Amino acid sequence: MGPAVVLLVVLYAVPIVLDGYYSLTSDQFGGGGKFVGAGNYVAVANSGLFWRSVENNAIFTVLTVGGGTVLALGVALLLSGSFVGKGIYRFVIYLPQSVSFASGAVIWTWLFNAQNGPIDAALNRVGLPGPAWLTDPHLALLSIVIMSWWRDIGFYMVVLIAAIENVPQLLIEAARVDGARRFGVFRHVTLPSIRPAMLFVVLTWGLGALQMFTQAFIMTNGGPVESTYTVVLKIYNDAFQALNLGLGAAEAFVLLGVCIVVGVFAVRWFSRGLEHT
Amino acid sequence: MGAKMRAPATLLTATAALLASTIAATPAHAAQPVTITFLNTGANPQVIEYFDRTVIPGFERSHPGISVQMSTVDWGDSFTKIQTAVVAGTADDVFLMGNIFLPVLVSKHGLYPLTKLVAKWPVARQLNQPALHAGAWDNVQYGVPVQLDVRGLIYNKTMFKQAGISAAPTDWAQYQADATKLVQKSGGQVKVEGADWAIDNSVGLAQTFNLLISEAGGQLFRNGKGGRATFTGDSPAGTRALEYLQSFYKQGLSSTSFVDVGSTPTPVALGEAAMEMNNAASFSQASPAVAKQLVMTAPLSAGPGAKPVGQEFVNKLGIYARTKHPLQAWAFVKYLYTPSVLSHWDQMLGEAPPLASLADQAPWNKGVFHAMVENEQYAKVFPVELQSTTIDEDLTRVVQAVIYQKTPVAAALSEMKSMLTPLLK
Amino acid sequence: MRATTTSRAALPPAPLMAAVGEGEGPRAAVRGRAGRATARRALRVAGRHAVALVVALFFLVPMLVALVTSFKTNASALTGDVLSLPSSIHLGSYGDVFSLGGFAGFTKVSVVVSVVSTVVQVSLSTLAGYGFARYSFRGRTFLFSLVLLTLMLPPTALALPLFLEMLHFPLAGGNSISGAGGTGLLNTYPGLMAPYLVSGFSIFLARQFFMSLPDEPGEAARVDGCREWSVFWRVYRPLATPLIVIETLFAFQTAWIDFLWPLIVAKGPSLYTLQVGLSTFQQEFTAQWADIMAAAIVASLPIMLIFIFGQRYLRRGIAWSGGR
Repeated sequence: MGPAVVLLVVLYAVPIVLDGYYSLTSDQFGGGGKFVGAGNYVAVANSGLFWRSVENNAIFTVLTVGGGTVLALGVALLLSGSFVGKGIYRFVIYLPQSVSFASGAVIWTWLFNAQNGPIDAALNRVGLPGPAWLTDPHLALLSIVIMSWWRDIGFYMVVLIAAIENVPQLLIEAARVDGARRFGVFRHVTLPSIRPAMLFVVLTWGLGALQMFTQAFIMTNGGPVESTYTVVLKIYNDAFQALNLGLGAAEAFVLLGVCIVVGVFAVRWFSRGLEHT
Repeated sequence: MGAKMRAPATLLTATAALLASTIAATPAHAAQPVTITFLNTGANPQVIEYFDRTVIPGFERSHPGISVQMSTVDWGDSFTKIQTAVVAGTADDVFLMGNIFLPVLVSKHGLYPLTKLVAKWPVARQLNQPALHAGAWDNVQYGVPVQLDVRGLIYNKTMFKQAGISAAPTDWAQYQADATKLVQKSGGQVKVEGADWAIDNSVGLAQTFNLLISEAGGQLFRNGKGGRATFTGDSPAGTRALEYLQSFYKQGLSSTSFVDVGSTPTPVALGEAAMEMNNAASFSQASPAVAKQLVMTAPLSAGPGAKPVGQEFVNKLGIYARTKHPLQAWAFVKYLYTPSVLSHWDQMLGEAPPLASLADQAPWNKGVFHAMVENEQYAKVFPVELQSTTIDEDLTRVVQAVIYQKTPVAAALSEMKSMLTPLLK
Repeated sequence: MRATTTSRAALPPAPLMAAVGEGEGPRAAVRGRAGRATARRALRVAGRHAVALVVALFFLVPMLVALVTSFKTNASALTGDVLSLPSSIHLGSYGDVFSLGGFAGFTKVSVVVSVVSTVVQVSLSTLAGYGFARYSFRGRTFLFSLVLLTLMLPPTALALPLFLEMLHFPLAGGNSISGAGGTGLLNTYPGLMAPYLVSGFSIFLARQFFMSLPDEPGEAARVDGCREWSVFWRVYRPLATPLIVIETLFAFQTAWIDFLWPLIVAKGPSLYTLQVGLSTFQQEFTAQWADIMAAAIVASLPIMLIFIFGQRYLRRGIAWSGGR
């Protein structure tokens, strides 16, 4: 316990406090910064690109986590219970987890390539026009969502399968005896029983989505026309390219605030549901 | 067993011999042996092998007492790496910098002043002078040029022939007319892009805009005293440049979906675009069949009779301000200008050498390499400001909005001005 | 309908599969209503397989494309028909990756960094989670909020402050007690491992895990005279295998795939990790897609191996992590 707390303080608390301090200065990394009070936060508030990034992040999170949770749940229902070959299916769906986001992003950049990528080549072969994916401002963010689903659904599927298979068989039988149909059983028995697992999925996936960076950095660098710019990409560019430590820190703290609000909201929403059952 | 018995005697002899040879080889006045470190930015596996096997052993042989340890980093991550290392005091003694690194590293007190060393160095006078000047900031020399990324017009002669075009375009109007013919020939929907304008995940569009505004007789920035600059892109030349660029997308002569994504080849290299402004990269990326169809020639002029204007990006070697061995580092820098070394190195990277004396030697006297060396005469050095990394990112985003026709040209120029003015302070 | 649904759940898989073959035969007709139900059931199973197959392809094809591309030559990967299989298996790209100068060194650094930081992170997080779950002490809520806080800031945002902290680490790398004069923990193994030595997520998982275990076995051991350490080591640790497996995977993966941190902390190739070393295949002005894919596959290999061999334990671990 002791060593973990010491390391946690040294490796996390100190940088967080330092970052909080930098957010109040004009530190240019290595050049002595001046205390500027809320100056950086005002700059963040006035930055059109920052708010565009927040908007993109919100859409990305809702699509990735919202859509992804439904898909993961669907796959989990499909592959739970008695089903020959479910092990192989589960393994295959779970396999992309072993690929890093960076490698995955490189692979999907290639797959989505509108000129000679395999996806459009396959579509063309069956006579369909291939969309421009990453170079179409309306599709680029969705393309990154698809890639993120590919990478992460497997993990959350396993979480949900376990929860579904843990639902007491007795409850299900009882519901059936009461005349519930398949969907009724799902809605009134399975879903309420797996609420804690759903909270875990939404919370961890949501926090990850709010911090999305690698995919946007590698696949689109925020383009086209800012349609995939994310908050962490902005933080990276301000902190590492412009070495504007103060501005990057202020943006990080705004993001921290958003994450806390979303986290608390998610916990509340799911716990309220729990009290009813 | 016998071998073991003889071991002590052999060991003794060997030690004595070794001792003797060490004493003989080390002149009494020789300095302590030192190791210098070298960050070879952008080295591909071929270059790494060449340095490991040939360049570094060659240098160490001719400079006893100095050894060199090389690291590499790709261009995309090099700015982050070098900047943080310079601030932290862990930078390499010698490093290769991209075109835009110099001012910011000077501002972090990261570069060793080379003015006096360069003045005493005969090779300096044979170097491409604009490129050498690009290594100076506030009248102090901080970097020396080793590679010139010289851009020219590249076209696919087979596609030209099919479209009935007999000669390479030399000005804007011809270029656009040829692009129209090329697209019509390949049939309505842009199957083959008439002209490609270097859309990528990096700052290609900022560079394109810079080239076009130069050709139109304007400039992006006017430099003032003490490294201060003013944005001058919102001029008639800026308007002309952006409108010209946008018209290719409006008329369907270029397509936004032809993107050079990181390590993918350029559309011209893939045989999907007919023309572009680029360096020799398209030749090295193309399959042999496509490479045979490509020709590099002079860049464009804005109108008939005007002089062509191209651009070049200068990679420079710098020495770390806090190095413990500046003179040994400088000796290594000078060694890299050995004509055969420089020539081979630059050839592997597809960039032109800044050394005029190489121009009439192979491979620089033939084909695309010759065209690059020829194009040096038209090339304007890409201007660099203190905040160039941010400036290029911002410019790219605005130009992207223009070609996607989300922002009108006039609005784009005033957005550039309001975004860049605070950065140029 | 209700009855058949219930009985299907109880049916073992093998008879189900057999039923597919029998469904439309004469015997089914003899059996009448029961036969129609079997046929419907068979159809349902077939439908389920069809959906599962489509879903599985979405996850499998990208990996296969990467694999197939890595066996092409660089030239044919780009210009040939992208959908075609290579005419012969070309191992040149793997040769390029393995013969890269320093490859062995990068691998060694990656292994050392990942293994050591995993061991440290897993032991510390498990103990810390145990402490949070089993003991009440002053400041527990505050400390646990700190743990949760670390989940809400992206590592990218904390990289520069942590970098400056490592640079000015007192009495390390030539630094004075006030942290000036030297390069601190930069370009050292401890500096390279710093962000992975402890993880809020791991502590969080461990706390949740130990909270879900009953108190009684521990109490019983205490009555038998066990010290606190023995209670943990003898009673609870053996129960924690799924937790430890999943912590290990997360810790190893984080350290193994990180790029930005080793890029700025390691000065040269002697401390470059595999991810940093292999980035040399993604150069500007080159287009060696077969090499890039081979490098990506080689870099993912250890994690894929952990996956394949530790599958059963992993699934239990992950399953557990969301279950509570």
